[in-house]
Amino acid sequence: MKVRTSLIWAVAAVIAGFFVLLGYFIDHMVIHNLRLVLIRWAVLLAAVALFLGLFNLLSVHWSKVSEQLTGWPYSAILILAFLVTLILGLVFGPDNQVSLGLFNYIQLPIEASLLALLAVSLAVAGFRLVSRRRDLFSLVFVGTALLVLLGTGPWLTGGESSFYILVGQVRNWLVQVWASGGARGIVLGVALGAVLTGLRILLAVDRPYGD
Amino acid sequence: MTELSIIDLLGTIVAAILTVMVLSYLIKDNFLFRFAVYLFIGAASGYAGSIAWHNVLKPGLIDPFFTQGLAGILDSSSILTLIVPWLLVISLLLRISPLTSRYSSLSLALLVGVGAAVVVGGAVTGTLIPQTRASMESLSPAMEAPATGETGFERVINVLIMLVGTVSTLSYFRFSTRRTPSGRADLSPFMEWVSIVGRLFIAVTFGVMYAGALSATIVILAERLQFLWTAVSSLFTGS
Repeated sequence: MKVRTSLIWAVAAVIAGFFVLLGYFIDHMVIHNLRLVLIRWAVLLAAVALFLGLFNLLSVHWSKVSEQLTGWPYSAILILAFLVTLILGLVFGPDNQVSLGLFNYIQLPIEASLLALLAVSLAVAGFRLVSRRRDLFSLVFVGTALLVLLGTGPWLTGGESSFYILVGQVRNWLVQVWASGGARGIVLGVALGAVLTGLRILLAVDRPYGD
Repeated sequence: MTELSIIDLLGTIVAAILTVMVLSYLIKDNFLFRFAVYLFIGAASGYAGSIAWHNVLKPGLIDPFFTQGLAGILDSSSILTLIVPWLLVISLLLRISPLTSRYSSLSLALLVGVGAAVVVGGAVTGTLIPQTRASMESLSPAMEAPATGETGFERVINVLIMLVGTVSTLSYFRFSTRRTPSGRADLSPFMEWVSIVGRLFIAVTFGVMYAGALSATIVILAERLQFLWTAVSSLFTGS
């Protein structure tokens, strides 16, 4: 009888996942050590998978440059920045002065500036929501956001007025009671979703590793 | 001027130019912004690769060859710690070519299986159990609220709001439900109302999160503008 290879991979995934999951709930030396070995292998494989992803990124942009497709100069910049950072990082290490210099003077300012742009994008998105979708949920969302913003920052009129204190108290009540309840529900819902997705893989219902 | 301060000065100029290039997006999507973004993706991915190499791959796969020597590598104890990982890594590397990618399935299956187990274990022990316990503890009206300090009737009201918020938001996430022919979830009228209340709580929560994100990014925008001002003024005044 010919055994389908996909079944072997499914059994490997299920057994490996079963022992790792067991290690969370059973404190036994053998299971603990087996779990550590399996997680160590997975970490190594994840690092290799990262390099495969980087290779894919490089090959996609390399083909854009070689075929001179639209926007190829940007791809050339990406390849150059990637290779320079990677080679310097591999040779000197990520904690070296050279690598840290690249990080502090190139990566950090761009990342911070992109986050700064997000302030404008968020404000524009908020205005668009109010102008395009005027239902109860949008009004609650925007009203809550305005109240929290008003209650968080300082006012030009100062912080002595009773209205300012009232807004601050309402803000605290919204954040600590209403939003806490909602956030807890969201976190529990996300965790249940993660458990469900994980269990589908552990029970071999979903097999994203191919055949 | 010392060598370090020259590097610092050049670095500050580069950082200031890159900041202006990114912020130029506020006028319009332009080539300066794209240049900076592609540069960022290249540098960030290269840096991530070097961290993965120095922190994971080199200590796990390369260093044992030098520390253990040939005798250590041929020892039976290194089968699990060195030989199997190397075979798995080589197998995963076969993913590069479409011709050989089918031979990488075992490595991928192990990675996915262990990853799924870590996700399930982490979600249960790190979120579900602690959050449920925290909900039960905070829902006790006898307990004083740690953040607001209120007790008595006020506390009971707040506890009820939190309870309704948690349950209705959770009931909004339905992982299995029948659908009507129009494609909508088939719910009883009561569950429909609970779902609407849940959506309202989600709107409040997202409103709070939106305000928090907006405040944080405005602070970062102010910091970037202040950095630009400091960089330009120090260039002209030399201080």
